[in-house]
Amino acid sequence: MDKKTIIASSAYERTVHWFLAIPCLLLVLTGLILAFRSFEPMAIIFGGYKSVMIVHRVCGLIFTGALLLTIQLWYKDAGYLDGSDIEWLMKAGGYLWKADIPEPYKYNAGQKLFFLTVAIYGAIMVITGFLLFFKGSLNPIFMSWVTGFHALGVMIIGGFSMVHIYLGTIGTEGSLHVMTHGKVSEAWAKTHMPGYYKEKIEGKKD
Amino acid sequence: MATTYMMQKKEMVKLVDLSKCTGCRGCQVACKNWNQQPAAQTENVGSFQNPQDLQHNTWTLIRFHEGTDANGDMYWDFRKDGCFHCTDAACVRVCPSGALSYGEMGVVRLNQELCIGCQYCAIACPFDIPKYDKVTNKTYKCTLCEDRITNDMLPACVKACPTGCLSFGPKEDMIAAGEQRVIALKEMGYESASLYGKEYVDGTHVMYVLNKPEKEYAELTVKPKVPVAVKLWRGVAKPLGLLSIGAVVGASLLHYFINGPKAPKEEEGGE
Repeated sequence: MDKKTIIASSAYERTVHWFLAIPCLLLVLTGLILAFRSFEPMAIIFGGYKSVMIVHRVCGLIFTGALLLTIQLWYKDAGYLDGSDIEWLMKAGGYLWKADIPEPYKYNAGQKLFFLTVAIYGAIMVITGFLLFFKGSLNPIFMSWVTGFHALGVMIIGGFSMVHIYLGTIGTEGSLHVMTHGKVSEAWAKTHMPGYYKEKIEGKKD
Repeated sequence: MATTYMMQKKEMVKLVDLSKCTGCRGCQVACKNWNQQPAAQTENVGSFQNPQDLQHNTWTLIRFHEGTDANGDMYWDFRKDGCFHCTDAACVRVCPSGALSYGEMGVVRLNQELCIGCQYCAIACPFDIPKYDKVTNKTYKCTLCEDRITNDMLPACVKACPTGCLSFGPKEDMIAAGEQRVIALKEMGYESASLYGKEYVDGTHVMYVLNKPEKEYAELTVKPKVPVAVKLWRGVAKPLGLLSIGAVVGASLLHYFINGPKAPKEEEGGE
């Protein structure tokens, strides 16, 4: 089974992914600490609130850059939803109950939806985040809404990320390889990236 | 008189009777004096108000407001601005580091040693009171002279006031005195006189006797309340954020235990 492998991601794609993912997780964690008093014990891990603030800001800058590269990299393959994607979503991708699901090309509708969420709400987080740098000099009422929308990101991006992490690790066998060394078994590619798999195999045969 | 009340650590209120303020700024100087804050160099902008706004080292300020009313008569108002020490304080709600908390006798306390300079309090405050200092990277505001009042002394501003505009005492007494004064003002012809602060943010610990409608005072928040965005942020975003992350992690694990991982088709033995 494991003799034949297919390249599912380039080194550049994997690098961009982790430059986005690691700051994102740190941002969620430090953001929760900064937003909510009950997370105080976790602030100690970072060495106090000042360090938490610095980590949050530095990660925010890295996240901003990585988000731009992410959008540029994946919007063609994942930045839209078509009819078959809607059907996929209606059947929850066959993950929750047995269903015949439409075959995706490289990314299924769930992955596309995750990409769109991260791209759109990530941009909102970047904009509101940069506004928060200048909170002292802007209208307080406006800023309280900015902060509110920024805080909502924890739910939207944080929550969806947990699904992504589950399905990317233990939820589907072999998926983690796509983001570690990039080589997947043919069987994996056939199951999860049918369109891409056919293209590769046919390309080889020709 | 007030000594025994202070010993009991009762909820106290500073009553500011604006109908008696002459704009002498004795309170402003006394505040600086007690808190050992230097005056900043300022510019003349054509008003007696000085400085132009509360500062990290100016915790109380007389706001001067002049103009002409509907009858063409000139008016000149003075309003002592500063922290209102809310019972339901938006700043305490949003402070992540615990620097802001409820102190004794109704004080909203700001401990600079815990302050991280995030300025959430400045965003949330319905009165726009906390002021940030870049040099120390901390926020400052009126303490209601917690150091004095817990030691049987009047707040410095009240001590200095020569006209009886400022008084300090137990909450019920101050409300009663304020309401009495409002009645007296109405009898004198100030029909829109009111007591400001009793009903707002569950009761402020600094209240005004106003002799004009709220909206006619410069930069005074009309019907102040904890901003809706702050309530959403603390009351909705927090529980939902944690719930969504927790629920998704829980559901994922449950999915794993019930269905197991999704294996590639051929390994399942299919096809």
